[in-house]
Amino acid sequence: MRIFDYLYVAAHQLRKNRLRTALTVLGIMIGIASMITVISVGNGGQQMINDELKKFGINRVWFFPNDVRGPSDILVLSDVGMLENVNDVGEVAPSVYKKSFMSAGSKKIVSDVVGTSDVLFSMEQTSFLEGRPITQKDVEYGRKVVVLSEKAKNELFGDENAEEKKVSINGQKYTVVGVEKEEKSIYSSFFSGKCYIPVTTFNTMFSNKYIDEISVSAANTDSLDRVIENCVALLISKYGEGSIKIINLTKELSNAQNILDIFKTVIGAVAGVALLVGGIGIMNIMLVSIKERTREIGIRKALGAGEHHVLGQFLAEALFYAMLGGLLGLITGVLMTRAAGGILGIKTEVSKGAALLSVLFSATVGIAFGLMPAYKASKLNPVDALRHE
Amino acid sequence: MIEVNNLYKTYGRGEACVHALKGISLNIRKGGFVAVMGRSGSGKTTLMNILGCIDSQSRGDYFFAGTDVRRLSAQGKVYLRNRHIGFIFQSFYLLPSLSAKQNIELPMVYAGIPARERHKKSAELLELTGLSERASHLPGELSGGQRQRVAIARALVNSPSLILADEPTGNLDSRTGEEIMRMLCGLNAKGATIVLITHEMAVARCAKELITLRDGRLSKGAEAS
Repeated sequence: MRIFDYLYVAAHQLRKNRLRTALTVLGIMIGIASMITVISVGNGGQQMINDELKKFGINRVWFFPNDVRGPSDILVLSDVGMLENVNDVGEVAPSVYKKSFMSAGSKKIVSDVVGTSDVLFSMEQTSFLEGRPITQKDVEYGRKVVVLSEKAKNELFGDENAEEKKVSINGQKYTVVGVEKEEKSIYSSFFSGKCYIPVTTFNTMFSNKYIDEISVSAANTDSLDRVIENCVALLISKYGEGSIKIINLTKELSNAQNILDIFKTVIGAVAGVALLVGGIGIMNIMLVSIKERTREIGIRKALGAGEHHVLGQFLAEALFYAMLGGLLGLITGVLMTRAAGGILGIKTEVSKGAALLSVLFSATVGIAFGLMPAYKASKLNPVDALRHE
Repeated sequence: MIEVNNLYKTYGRGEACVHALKGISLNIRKGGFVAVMGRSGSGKTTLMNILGCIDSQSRGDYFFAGTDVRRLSAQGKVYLRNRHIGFIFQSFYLLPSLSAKQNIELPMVYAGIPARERHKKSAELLELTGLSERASHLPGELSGGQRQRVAIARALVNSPSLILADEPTGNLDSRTGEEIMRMLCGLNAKGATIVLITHEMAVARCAKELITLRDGRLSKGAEAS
């Protein structure tokens, strides 16, 4: 008797009891589908975090005035120069924010306007739809130039090119020098959608002398902690204890990573339980099936079926349940992964590894939970089995 | 062919135990046709189950073609059933989900015979039993006589040296029963050894030799039941 014969008989049995088969398969299907989804979405999230790290650099930190102390009256442009001189500091970029009215022709919008320097663009490796970033010269001479966000450009100019055109910000004319390309990712959404002008221009326009944040990158990743320590010490010595707030992206991301790990573990455990329950379901239905078909087993044995034939037949049946569940689970898992990716806005892909793992896993469940009933069937005494009503 | 010495079979233990066979000794030659008669409960079926190696005796010897069956492993008995013994049962015992042809081929499947050879052999036997037209019918779509013919074809498929028929006509009307008996006589004439269990004298007369079981013991010759 060949594998094919076993599978043929098993398929036949399963087809005969469609509802029973469907219900038995459901448990495994849910287990495998959630396993695949967890692995794929988890990997997608991981990939996204890694991409963010690469994009913003894992060696970057932000300093803010501690708002609790009231209106910000600390951090000035000259602090940028001060921090640049700290050991192991790579680049230092200032930012200052204000919501502003912008218009071009008859179109009017409200957008975040950021005063910053050329350094920010190199730190964030901004890509451009058109034009160029703000340059050092722009900052030095306080030029009235602006880099538009993709959104602002679309709202103001539609499909036309914006470069060299004029926009007015709070009633003052600016020349568009570039349009930032919008990146679709979680962290960058904090930063994107803003229009940039030279920090010097900004402070003149709003008669402002303070800045809202300074971001500092370390020359290399290993020295980040030391850089933070030195910068904080310097800023505190200037502004006093408790005056400075720090956002360390690496720390934030490792928190996100921890949450992701917990999520993976919990859902993974649920998937495991579903598989276990599915396996028990298979075992249960196999025991019922063997009870129902005791006489059939007796007949087969009388005709010369060996123990291995009976064992093989029922194992094939259990395996069939499990593999069918595994296959349907794989399909459902792929669909769920796509849906989850769409909802969460992350790139997800079911890896070959996850697919292979799920198939192996369901096969294992089938064999593990089919073995006991199949063994029981194979050991039936032919006469007793034949007499069974 | 078959040699049975002082065979005992006891079911259960202690007070509740039942002695189904109480010292049966029996010789059946190759090419023999033995009818075993007896009332129900006389141990006919127990004897046939032991002869067919689907049950084992409590005491006594059973030699099948010189082989001591008691010394055979489970696998050895499986082999014996598959290659050397053909069963025909009163209630046919066809597998309801398999077609006539598939039922007939089942013992060959277990013997590991390749599909092409199986199809050839089952076609021959369907022809022999006059069922060629019914090859793909399920047992539920066949009449009683046709079902028993399928069962006979199945019993013959591995060319066994012994055919065991337990009340093969019991569930059939007399005309169909006669037809089945003619078929068995024909097989015996071609050299098959047959042990037939029945409680109908008319059926038993077809056999060359008649033995009667009474309360687990053997009494030679015929006895009305």
